[in-house]
Amino acid sequence: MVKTIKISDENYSWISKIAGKLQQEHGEPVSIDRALSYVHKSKELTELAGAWHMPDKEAKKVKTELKDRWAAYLKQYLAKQKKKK
Amino acid sequence: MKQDKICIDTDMLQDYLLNKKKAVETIAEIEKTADCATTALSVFELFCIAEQTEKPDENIKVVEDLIERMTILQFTSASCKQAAKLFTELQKLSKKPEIRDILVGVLIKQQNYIIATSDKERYKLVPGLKIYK
Repeated sequence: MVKTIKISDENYSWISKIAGKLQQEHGEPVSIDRALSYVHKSKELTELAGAWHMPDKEAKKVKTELKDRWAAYLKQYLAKQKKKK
Repeated sequence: MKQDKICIDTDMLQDYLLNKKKAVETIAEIEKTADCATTALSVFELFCIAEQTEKPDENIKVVEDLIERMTILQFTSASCKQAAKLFTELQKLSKKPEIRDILVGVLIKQQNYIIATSDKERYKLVPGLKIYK
């Protein structure tokens, strides 16, 4: 849903400059909304390395379980298809 | 703005969050030049993994923080249509495709992204999909 917000002249000028820079790089119009998304997503992933709290044994177990679930789903799906024929 | 478009798969993101050296190095390298994305399905898988751990609240929060920093590729009717076509063709050829891998691979290819994965073998059935070294 689209929202209308009020921002200061200073912030408007700042985000407009970013939108202008992106517009130059992309060669197409860039909206303020897209410029805000760019700023929002420009936080780096780097600091999240190792952020999960999970012993190795547990990590291995949940990873295998996920693969097994997909495999089970496929097996089930194919069995149903076979039955329909 | 970064020029490359790289989509990181669940397994690599999981290894990254677990501080596995190879994944940490690869993602640090990718981040220098690329717009980092992942798929909506990987988001689902990461939440599933986090839910099953002994500290679900903390791990779910980490996933939320991670996806805020990434572009999330959404499935479209066009990507699903293409994936279904490929899945059916591969099935007829008895190639045993995995539904998940075909859905993800076709979406990434269609959005002109390169996939970064710890398991390159699983995407070999998606023709034309570019895989990060």
